[in-house]
This record gives sequence, C-alpha cells and structure tokens, in this order.
Amino acid sequence: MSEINSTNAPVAGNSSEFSERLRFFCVRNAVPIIFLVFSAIAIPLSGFSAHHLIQEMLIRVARNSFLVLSLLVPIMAGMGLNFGMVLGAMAGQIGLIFITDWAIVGIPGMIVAAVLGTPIAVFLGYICGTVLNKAKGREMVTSYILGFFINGLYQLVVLYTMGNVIPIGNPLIKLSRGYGVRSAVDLIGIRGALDRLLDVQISGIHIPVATYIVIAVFCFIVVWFRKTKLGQDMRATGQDMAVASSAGVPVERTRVVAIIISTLLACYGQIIFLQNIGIMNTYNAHEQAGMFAIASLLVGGATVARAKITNVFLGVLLFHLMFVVSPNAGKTLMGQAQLGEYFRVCVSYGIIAVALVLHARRRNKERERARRDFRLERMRRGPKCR
Amino acid sequence: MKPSFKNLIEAVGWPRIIIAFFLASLFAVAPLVGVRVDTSLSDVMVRFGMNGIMVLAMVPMIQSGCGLNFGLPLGVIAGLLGACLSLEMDVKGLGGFCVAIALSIPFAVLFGLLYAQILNRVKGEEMMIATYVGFFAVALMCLGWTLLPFKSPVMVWGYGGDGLRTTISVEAHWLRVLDNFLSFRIGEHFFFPTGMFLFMGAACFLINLFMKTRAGAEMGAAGTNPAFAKAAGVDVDRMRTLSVVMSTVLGAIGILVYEQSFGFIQLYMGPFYMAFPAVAAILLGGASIRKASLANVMIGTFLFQGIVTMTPSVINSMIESDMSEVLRIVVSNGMILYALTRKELLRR
Amino acid sequence: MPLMNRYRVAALILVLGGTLLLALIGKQHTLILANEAYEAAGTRLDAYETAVVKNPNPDEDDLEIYEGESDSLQVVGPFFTVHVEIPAAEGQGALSAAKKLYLGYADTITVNIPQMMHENNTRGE
Repeated sequence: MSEINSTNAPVAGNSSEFSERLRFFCVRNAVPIIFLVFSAIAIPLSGFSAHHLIQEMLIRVARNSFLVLSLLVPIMAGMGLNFGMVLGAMAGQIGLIFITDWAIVGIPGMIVAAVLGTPIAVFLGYICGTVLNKAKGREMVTSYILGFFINGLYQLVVLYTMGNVIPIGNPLIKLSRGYGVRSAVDLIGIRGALDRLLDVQISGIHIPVATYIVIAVFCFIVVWFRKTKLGQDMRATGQDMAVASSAGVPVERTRVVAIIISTLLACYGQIIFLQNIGIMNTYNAHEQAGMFAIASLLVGGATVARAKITNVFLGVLLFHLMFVVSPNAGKTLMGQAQLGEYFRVCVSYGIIAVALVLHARRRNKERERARRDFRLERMRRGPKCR
Repeated sequence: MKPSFKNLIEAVGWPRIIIAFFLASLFAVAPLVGVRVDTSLSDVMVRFGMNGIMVLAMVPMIQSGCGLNFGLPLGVIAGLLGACLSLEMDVKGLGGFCVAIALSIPFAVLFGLLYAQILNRVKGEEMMIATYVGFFAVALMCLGWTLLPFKSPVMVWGYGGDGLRTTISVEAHWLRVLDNFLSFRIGEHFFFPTGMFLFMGAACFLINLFMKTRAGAEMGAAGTNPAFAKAAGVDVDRMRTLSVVMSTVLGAIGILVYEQSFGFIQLYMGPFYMAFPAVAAILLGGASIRKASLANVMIGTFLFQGIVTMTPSVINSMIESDMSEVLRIVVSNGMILYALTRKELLRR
Repeated sequence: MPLMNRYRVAALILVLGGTLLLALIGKQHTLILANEAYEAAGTRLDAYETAVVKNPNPDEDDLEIYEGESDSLQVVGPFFTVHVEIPAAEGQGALSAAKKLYLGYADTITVNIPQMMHENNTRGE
C-alpha cells in the first residue's frame, strides 16, 4: 500500500515529536505569526495606549467580522475566495440609499435596508454563481473581474438613473445637477443604531454588545449550516466535484447557492459596517470592503481551500491592528506617516499574494500526487486492467 | 452560403461585432452632435500608438500559456524607473527617450526573471497571483518613490521635500518626441503621429520575426500543450520565463511610449490598474487566454481606444453628462469576463 | 410552480408585512409648526405673539415660535403628541393644549398653531 499520509502531519510517538509539531504549527500558521511579530514591533513604536487600542479593536472587530464571515461558505464549497462579495456590498448600499431617502431611521431602518437589499443580493449572487460555473478552475479571477463589471453597472444605476428613472425625493442625497447620488451620503439616521443598542462600558471602554450578539448568532448559524444537508453537499462539492456529482449531489446548483448565501451575508455585513462608520462612500465603500475582508481572512490563517471561524476573528483582529498601528509606527521609525501607510498596503497585498501562491503550490502538488498514484495503480494492476 | 456566414460570425465572435458596430455608429453620429470626425480619428490614432505596445506585451505570455498578464505593472515600474533616471540625468529630446528605454530594460529583465520564478511555481493560478504580485510591487514602489535619492528639481517635491512627486511632467525633456517624428497634419484638425506608428510597427515586426524563429515556435508549443511540448524536448519552464521577461520589457517600453505622448510620468498608484485596459484590449481583439496574434493586438487596441475616445465626446454632447468612465469600466471588464467564461478545450 | 408552495407564500407575506410595519415604526417625519394666521371658510384666527412647543428631546430647548414664523421638529414613529403653550399676554391668561397626531408614512406634516389651540378650546367647551 502506498503511503496514505496525504498531509504532512507528524506521526505520533517520536522523541522529537514536540519539535515536529512545533514546526508543523509554524508552517501551517505562518501568516498570522508573521503578523503578530510585526504588530509586536509596531505597537510600542506607534505610541498608542493600550486603552485606545483595545477600544479601537473592539469597534473594528464588531464592524468587520460579518463581512469576513460571508467568505466562509464559498471556500467550503471549493470556490476559493469570493471576490464577488462586493456585489453583496453594493446590494446593501442600494438598500441604504433608499432608507436614507425615505428617512427611515434606527434599527427599523437597518432592517428595511436589509430587506430591500436582499432581492438585489440574491439576484446578483445568482448571476455571480452562474458566471463562475462557466469558469470552473478560474473562479477567483472571474469573480474579481465580475466585481469590477457589476461595479460599472452599479455606477450606471446609482449615478445616472437614481433621481430621474428611479425617484429619489431627498435633495440632500442627490448631486447638484439633480440626478445621481452624491459620492458621500450621510447615514445619520442609522449611525450607531446597532452598536449603541446595547452599549456596555467597562472602565471607559464602550463595547457594542448588540453587534457582537448578532455576529455570535450568525456564527452559530454557520456551524449549524455545516451539518445540514445543503452544508454537507457543499463540503462534498468542495472536496471533489466529480465524486460529489457521481454521488448525486447537484454540483452546479450547490455552487450557485453557496455564492448566493455569500452575497447575502456580504449585503448584511456591509450594512452593519456602514452603520458603524456613519457615512457611506457611495462609489468606493464596497471595493474596500472586499479587499479588506479577504486580506483579513488570509491573515487569520485561512487558505483558499480551508477557512474556520477562528480564522475570521483572529484575522480581523491582526489585520486591523496593523492597520491602525502602521502609520504612526512608520512616522516614528522614518519620520513620515505616509510610509507606514504604504507599508500597510504593501503588506496587505503581499499577504494575499503569498497565500495565493501557497494555495496554488499545494493544489499542484496534490494534483501531481494524484496523477502519480493513478499511474502507480495502473502499473500495479497491469496493462490488462482498463 | 449560410453555414459559412454563420461560421464567419462565430470566428469573429459576437462581442467584437457588437463593439465594432457600436464604434461605427458613434462615428456616424458624431458629426450630428457637433463632434468633428477628423479630430476624433486623430485622437484615436494617437491613443492607439500610446497604448499599442502595452497591449503587445500581452502576447508572449498568452502564447506561452501563462495567461493574461495582470502583472503588467511590474514592467510599467521598470519603465518608470528608466524614465526617472533619464530625467535625473537631464538628457533631452530623442536621446533622453532612448536613454530611458535603455535604462529601463535591465530593470525589466530583472523584474521579469523574479516574476517568472513565481509564475513557474504556480501553474494554473497565474492570473490571480499576477494581479496581486503586481499590486504588491506597486505598493512597494510607493515606498521606493518616497525613499529613493532622486535630486532633480523637476521631479522632487518643492520646498526641500523628500521623495518624488506623484506626477512629473516630461515637457522639458522628451514630450512627444515620437509623436512628432515625421508627423503630418491634414488641415487644422487631423494630426498623425507617424513616429509612434513607426515605432509600433517596428516592435510588431520584431515580435513577428521572433514568433517565426525556433524559440518562438517552442514558446507557442509550450502554451498550446505543455505535455506534448515537454515530450518533444522543449524546456517549458524556460520558455515561460522567456515570455515573462519579454512581456515585462515590452511593458516597460510601452509605458515610456505612453508617457512621451501623454506628457506626464505617473508614480505611486498610477500603475495600479494599468494591466486591465491592455487585457481588455487584446481580448477585444479576439485573443483568448491561450492564443493571441498580432492582428488581435491591432484590432483590439483600435476598437478599445476608439470606444474610450468616442464615447465621452459623443455621449457627452448628446446627454449632458459624462458617462464615459462608467461605460469604459463596463465594456472593458465585460470583455474580460466573456473571455474567462468561454468554453475551452481543457487539456490539463 | 415548485417554488411557490403555501408556506413560502405565507412567509413572504409575513416578511413584507413586517417590513411595512418596521418602515412605519422607523420613519422619521419633519413636523412643521406654524404660528401663522389661519384662514378658512368664514373664520379667521390670528397668530399668537409667542408660542412655545415642548421639545420631545430632553437635551434640547423648547421651540419658541414668534408671530408669523414656523419651526420644525424631527419626530420618529407613527404617533406623536404635540404640546403647545401660549404664555400669558395682555388680555389673555396662559393657554396650553396638546394634540395627538398620526403621522403614518408622511415626510412632512404641518400643524397650524392657532387652529390647534382653537380646536382644543372648542372641544373643551
């Protein structure tokens, strides 16, 4: 029997087991470890107090986690990083434009925005899923470009039809020429609506408990989902499409559903994100959402093929820690805050590039191994066997 | 009769036909809305020359199987370095331009070699990784532009600042040196930048020549079917590396041609999205992810730049608004999507 | 159609109904209070010199609206009770009145103060 140890996990029972396991741990979690080291160096350099940092991190984790959660489902279904989550973000933003126009405020406002965004998100998710099914093996690039394409359509709608074809009453939202939405929409109606719903203070630090409760609920839903039939179908599809298909799993449909769910979650996540920030950059907010969410997930140690909930929170924490700390650290180190800023951007893209490279290599290695095993099997069985 | 007509349409591809019609209609409508056809044609010609070489840069990598070169920013950065060094040395005119090219080539080769190392290890996911390697490089160079010890007053921030400016004018050095070389005007409105076209023609001729050599054939073989090529004795990895280096060098030269016509060197985040118009252009010209020809480059660049030039002027005159940017996004990304979702003979 | 069974339709109606209800609850209205002369068939009521409107927001001051002017309040929710006080002036003691309003989905609602005081008085009689 050929060696079935397909992972590089250390075998128990060696005297050097501990160092083996340590090495394994370090390689597996290289990215978060690197980020931890960076942060450890940069935090004292930045001069921020612990109090300030803890408050900042609590806010940011609450704000961003939901968006990152939306990336888990497509990874489970084997579709890689869903760059198309920006489609969901756009759907959420359209919902927000309407509730701002209709002056619906507070939690009801957020829920109405979510309800308005839902059909749009489902529709866009369906398109994304169908397109990705036509580009199997190239999902990530395709979803990336699709994001840009739909962004163009979004701009077409929001910049040109809103205000004339689609009636918008509130003059504060519109551009001075009479139609088209402004590039920055003030969301005073829902600013902090969820965060301040249950605000707990511990020694001067505000904790947006309500938001965390919502996130926790969805984490439980994600865990529960994995055990449902649909969840199992997705995992099977993710493992091996051919095997799943022959086992009766409707592979194409499952993939589309995975993307629709992801897009929906991105829609709600963007609403939560924007209620914290309070101002919506109509034409940019969604792009950043996608980039930061993916970077955060990868920083948390997820790979293109495997992602857990711990990756989500760890990733958001580490990524945003570096985000907050780099500009000042750069200033202290080299006298220019701008350098810290560039450094942060650099590292974000570098991390994604590294993660993608690692994934590609692993995938190629597995394919190579599968091919080798197949050939060995054929040789073993002899030429008579088909 | 009928089947062959249908075949022709399929061969050309619906998107190209639609876009060509769209462009033709824009030209037809132009005089009716007060846009001069000769000025527009002239603009399109100039933009064709400006962007052509960067589109040409896509060809080697497509042919060798590395996919669409989303990492073009690497070549662009090499070109920018060459340009900055040329300005630092304060060489003017055509000489300055040639110095810029000469200086950027070693950088381009170096970047290309590194880039190829990465790409050769990730066969199958090249495009996504290329994108992010490109982004990473642009971000890294942002640090570079700030820290590198350039001194020329044209380039550095005023008031004794450190680091290069975001946009640097080349007016004093080699603005339009190619454009104006042997150029001619017809009437007041039509300007033909002969120099750029000659340059582009030369580049295309050289690439064509290369494709006909043995190395060129090997490169094409490596792209069409790496397994067969390997069996036939072709060093696939080496061909890929060669194609990546060629692509990066062309990218460097391409941005220099662009800059001499445009008039400005754009640093920092300038190169960030530069791959996308070139990718869209070559796909528009009929290339696929695995095959690209010089005809694709010509047709694609012309159609793409035509749309990009004509839509703003015509549509702005018709509906008093500026839809050009948005339409460009939709068209270029739509083209790339179409290419990505086409059924291909997966021979992996 | 396989997609439209009874439960799905019921759930959809529930969601839509719930959304309409939430929109009602969360709708923000601009309540305009006008201290201007009111003219209608036959009657004419003059504006008061000063009218004081109680501000529902405890952190902010009450609105003082002078003769001929109007001011506005931002109000959330379908129901709102306006409290108006007219301070004592020559010939009159202090007056006060309250009016219950149903705002529904409207963006702005205008209340004419003299009219409101008159209604209140006549109702009291």
